[in-house]
Amino acid sequence: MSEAPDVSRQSRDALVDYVRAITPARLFLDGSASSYTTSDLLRLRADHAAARDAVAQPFATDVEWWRDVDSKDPPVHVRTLARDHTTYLRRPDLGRRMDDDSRTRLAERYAGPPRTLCVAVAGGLSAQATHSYGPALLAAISQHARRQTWTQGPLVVIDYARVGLLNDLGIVTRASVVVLLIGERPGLAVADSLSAYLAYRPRPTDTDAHRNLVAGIHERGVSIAEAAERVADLISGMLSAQRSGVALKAPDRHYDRVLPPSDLG
Amino acid sequence: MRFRTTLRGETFTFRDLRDVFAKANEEKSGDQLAGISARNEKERVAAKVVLADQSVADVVDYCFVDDDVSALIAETRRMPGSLRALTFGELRDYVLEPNFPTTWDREFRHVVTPEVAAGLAKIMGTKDLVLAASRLRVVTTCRNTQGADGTLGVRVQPNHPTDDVHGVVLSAIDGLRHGCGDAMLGVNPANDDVGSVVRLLRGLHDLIEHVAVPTQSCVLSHVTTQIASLRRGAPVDLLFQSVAGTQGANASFGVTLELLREAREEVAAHHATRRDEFPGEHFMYFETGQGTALSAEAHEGVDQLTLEARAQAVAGAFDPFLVNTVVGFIGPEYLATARQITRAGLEDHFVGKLQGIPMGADVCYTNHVDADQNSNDELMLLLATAGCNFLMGVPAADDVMLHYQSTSFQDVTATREILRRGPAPEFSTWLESQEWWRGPHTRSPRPLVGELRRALGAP
Repeated sequence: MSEAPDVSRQSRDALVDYVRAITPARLFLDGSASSYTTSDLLRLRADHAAARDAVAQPFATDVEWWRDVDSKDPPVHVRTLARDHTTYLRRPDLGRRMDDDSRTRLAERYAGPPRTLCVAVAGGLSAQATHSYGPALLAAISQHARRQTWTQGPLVVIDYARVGLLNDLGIVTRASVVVLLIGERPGLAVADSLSAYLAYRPRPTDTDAHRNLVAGIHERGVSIAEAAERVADLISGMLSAQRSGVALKAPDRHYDRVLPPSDLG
Repeated sequence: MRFRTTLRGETFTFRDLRDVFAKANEEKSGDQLAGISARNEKERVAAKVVLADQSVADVVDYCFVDDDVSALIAETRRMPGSLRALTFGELRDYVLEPNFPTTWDREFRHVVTPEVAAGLAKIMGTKDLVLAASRLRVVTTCRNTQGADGTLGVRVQPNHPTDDVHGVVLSAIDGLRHGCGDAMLGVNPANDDVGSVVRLLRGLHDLIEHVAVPTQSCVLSHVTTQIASLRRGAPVDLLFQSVAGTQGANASFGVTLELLREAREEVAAHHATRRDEFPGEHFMYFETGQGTALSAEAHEGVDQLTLEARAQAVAGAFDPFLVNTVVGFIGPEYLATARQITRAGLEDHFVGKLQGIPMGADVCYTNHVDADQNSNDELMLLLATAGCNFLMGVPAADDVMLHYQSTSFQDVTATREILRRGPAPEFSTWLESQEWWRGPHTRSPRPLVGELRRALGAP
């Protein structure tokens, strides 16, 4: 908590500075009590436009996801039952299921002894977030994986996925831990917030109660290094406890959340 | 066959009342997701035609869902013979008669079942929903009186991303200087932790006490967290909980009717012993919204408008101060477009008022829905015209914690001016007594910020 200043003698500008230091809420705006000033109105419209554009931006599956990773294993592209953006928004159930062709191809790529890790990337509700922070976060997670000698299967790149796709990823890849990086619903302040959802050996009936989350990964939020560390901590915790979600005692309650912050489920 | 009609040579048959109700609903993506909606527009109208011929008694006696919510409705609402004898079409005509409100006020205020209210809404145009609701007043009291003719309450929602008490109190003060906050100062905590909730409750209580404003606070954490905070000595004014229209969906919220009863009693006992002589006659605050039962996978094949009406009936059983339909919050899988949100908001308000519920609305949308601030303005004006008890006041309409868009202090101030409504009478009297208040158009940030320093214990 911040100290309350002696604002009664300060100018209005000083008050506004004070307010900005303790809350991102837009307070003490100028203008009439019943309308914004033109500049405030247009600023709000611009922020909303950025959020809308972030939702509408298509997920580029041909991004060089591994550009920061020393890997010769090409990514595997899979599709869900949601085939277009409108369907994706209105039918979350379809975004939780992989199509049959993808199942076959993914299973082939994950044949042989089960891996420790399967890492997947999806645009979610902000492809911009995944594009911006995905490659660097993938590299940082891979570094942790090498240090811990976790085996990692090929990267999975998915169009139109919901968090519930973790269950299909778990069944098909047989990996011990599945990590899904996905863009969160844009707000006016932040349009490109990335989240990492994790689950230990996810199964078809698993719910949010079986998942853990590192949220708020963006320029002014959780940094890439910090996010990768939290993800690695959660993976270690899952491997030793052999479970995830509410049943997993969080390594640090400040950053571990069990339930998703938004509607990506 | 009771559930069959022929429309322009095409015969439509419906399985049962649940099917008629679902298909008679206006288009909602949630009903489509649940797989229960009309397949085309003619089928939708055919269902409305069949619904209009159903007897009210048959619908009252039909079991939409076999659960404790239905048992509660049966226990708390008894439709009189005079209404049971009508068809839905006849009841609609009756409800739209100018003299209906007088009879409603005397005899029907607490008897209409949620299913009957929802059924009526399905055979009403949008103007009908506004007109019928605008004639029904539901007045409640806590530290002020909400819902009286000529008033429009505002809940200030001073959320903060990390529950910083200074940040919350500052947002509340900005609301107060706009004449907002009579419905409540109600904050959604980012953190459902008892310590954090206690701090927020104390911060809001201190502000209310220091500026002596006749309003009430609320921290919208889970009901069990609020009770734990109360036991730790925090002052609880309004007790909040989200509720839904089926037992299963309420279970997904972690509540049962018994838990709500016990919590209400504990808060009543707390109020009886408060040193500040808490005057609230009504002190429960509930939030609802179409689609919640489906999102909890507990919709039981019933459409989302009917389940919303049932959620309101649950709230109504606990003598609420205010009930809020958070209409556009839930996302495009339940309400996909501004048109669907607008229709749902007006339906929710009408079915609530007809059941005698003090309905307000959070007119809102998320950024992945096909809606914007212009469509939000439209619903805000329509709901205020319909006599909605309260609207939301969110700084610049942008919630910095929940990341969605609602209505701002400026928006609701404009609405009050356009429709000649004022805040609750006690709150208006308080405003007039403030040396800084010269009406909503001459705001000064200065005096209340001085109070902020005292409220937060600054030297």
